[in-house]
Amino acid sequence: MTTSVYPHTGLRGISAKTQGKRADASLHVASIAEAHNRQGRPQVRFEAVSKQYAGQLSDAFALQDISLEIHQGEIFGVIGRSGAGKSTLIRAINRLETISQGKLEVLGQDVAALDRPQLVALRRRIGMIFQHFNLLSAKTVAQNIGLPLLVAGKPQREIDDKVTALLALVGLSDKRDAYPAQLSGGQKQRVGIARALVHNPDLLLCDEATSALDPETTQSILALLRDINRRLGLTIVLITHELDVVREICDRVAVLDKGQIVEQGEVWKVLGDPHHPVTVSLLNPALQTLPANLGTRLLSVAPQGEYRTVISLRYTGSQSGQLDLNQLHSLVGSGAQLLHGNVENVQGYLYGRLLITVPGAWSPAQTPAAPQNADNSSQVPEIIGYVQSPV
Amino acid sequence: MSNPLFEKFLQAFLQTLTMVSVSAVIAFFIGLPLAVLLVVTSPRGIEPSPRLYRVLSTIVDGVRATPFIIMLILFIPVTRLVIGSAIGVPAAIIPLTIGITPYFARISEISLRDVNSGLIEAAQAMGCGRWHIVRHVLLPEALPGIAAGMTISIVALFNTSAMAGALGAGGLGDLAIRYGYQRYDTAIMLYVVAILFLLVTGSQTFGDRFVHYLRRNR
Repeated sequence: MTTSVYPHTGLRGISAKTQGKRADASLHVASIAEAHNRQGRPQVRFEAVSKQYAGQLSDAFALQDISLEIHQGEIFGVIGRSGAGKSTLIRAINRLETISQGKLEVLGQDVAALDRPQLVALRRRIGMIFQHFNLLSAKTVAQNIGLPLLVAGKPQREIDDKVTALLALVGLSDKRDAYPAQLSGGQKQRVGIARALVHNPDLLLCDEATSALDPETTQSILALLRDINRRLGLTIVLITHELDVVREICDRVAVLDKGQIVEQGEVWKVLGDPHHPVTVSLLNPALQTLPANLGTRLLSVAPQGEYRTVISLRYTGSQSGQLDLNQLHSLVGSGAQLLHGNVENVQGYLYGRLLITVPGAWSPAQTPAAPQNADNSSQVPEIIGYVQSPV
Repeated sequence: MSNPLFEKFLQAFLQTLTMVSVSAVIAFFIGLPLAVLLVVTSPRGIEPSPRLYRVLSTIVDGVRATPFIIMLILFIPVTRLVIGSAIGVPAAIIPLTIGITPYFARISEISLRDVNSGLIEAAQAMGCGRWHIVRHVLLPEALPGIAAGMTISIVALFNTSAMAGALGAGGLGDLAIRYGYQRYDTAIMLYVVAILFLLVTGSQTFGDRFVHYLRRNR
């Protein structure tokens, strides 16, 4: 069907590149103009949405009382363990799954009320990429990317131009006539992204888009998604079980467990100061676990003789991006030793946990330093146990 | 081999070839839509229709359960109606086609059903209608399996066509029975078997090559 206009010469790459740039620029302008019209209204709004499957013993809830709003231009993450209902949640948005109760509005439309042509029209405004890419093995890269336009009845010339522009955008201009089987995982996902963008969508759904990729490729795909989000103003909803993905590119996150949202908010807040045990367990283990050599020696009450108190110091939301050591010193007092530490920087906010030991008994009241700092960061010291000296 | 005998062989060979190829072509064009319909209307298909699925399924299995020799007799009235005669090569093509179509349809159905559901989901997500999914996803993705199914069906047709001699359609099978069984000329029977063997292995090899060609980029 689609054959390259250019034979296999050096010329092909060059002209594809220039064409790509031109088409890309027009894409950008269009999306800014559109973004103006869309301001203020959430792109996706779940209102007390539930989904249940009729079971033999009891009705199992895949989603239960989900309420959330996703706004224009943001990257919204949904994280949870497998089986938490993430997949059902993201599929409800383009009605690959129907909902049982509640109201779901996507791009201003009540999803449940759409008839078939309306649903097709809505789906053409929503791109979707998948964990296993879901590319058609019998079609070339160009045919895969162009398929949504082909079935929408667009002329072949328009399809070819659009495919050329998108191939340049995802950096695969030289793979136009390759088949998916000849591509690496990362390249396949790039094709998937190009295909998802072919209708200039308002919304991009990412279903575990990086879960089948190695860490390095994951980074490059996330960077590409971030780039698309910024350049095209595209709203992205992604589901993942990997905290790193959320940390890397999401603006806001919802934590899903057993079909319910247990926590949601800005990423630095949720990750830095998790309230729900599920969130805590999803967090970087370094923030949760004790060093192996400490665990067995940790006592819950102060022992006789010489001992040290182990303090866990969690800090969240220092926007300066720095941890003031002087302040820390005045908080824990003299003789303090650092045992274990972890510092993360998310969206410019610092959060992490330090394990510190101090000689003898210790209580927060013994130091004059206020736990609440000037720049609104909070440091929460907590005694987690005692060890016989020396550590 | 004397000349008249050679002509008998040639005639029988051409009769068999005609019966098999015409039946195969018709079976392809009826069986494939039937297979698509079965997959699409099945409970987990893209347009579930339990009643239609059950009706189609019952017909397909009913035909497959009927022994071919019975079918030859059973469809004599139909053959008369369509062809105008119940004997000869054209008359044999009707029951041969009816016999092989459900068989081919079931094999194709398996290949179509095996198409990764993620691909169908992706097609739906990009705004494909049911026909688009059949045209751009199900058929192209299942094509190698369908081609393999066609190969098996053709081989089976060589087999069943041997019985078409009962309708005076001639063919290699008929030759083998008349000379080999009824005239105790075992040599001719073995020649026929050898020719059939070559035809079958030839078809199978060609089919395999074709499937391999279809899969070259996957």
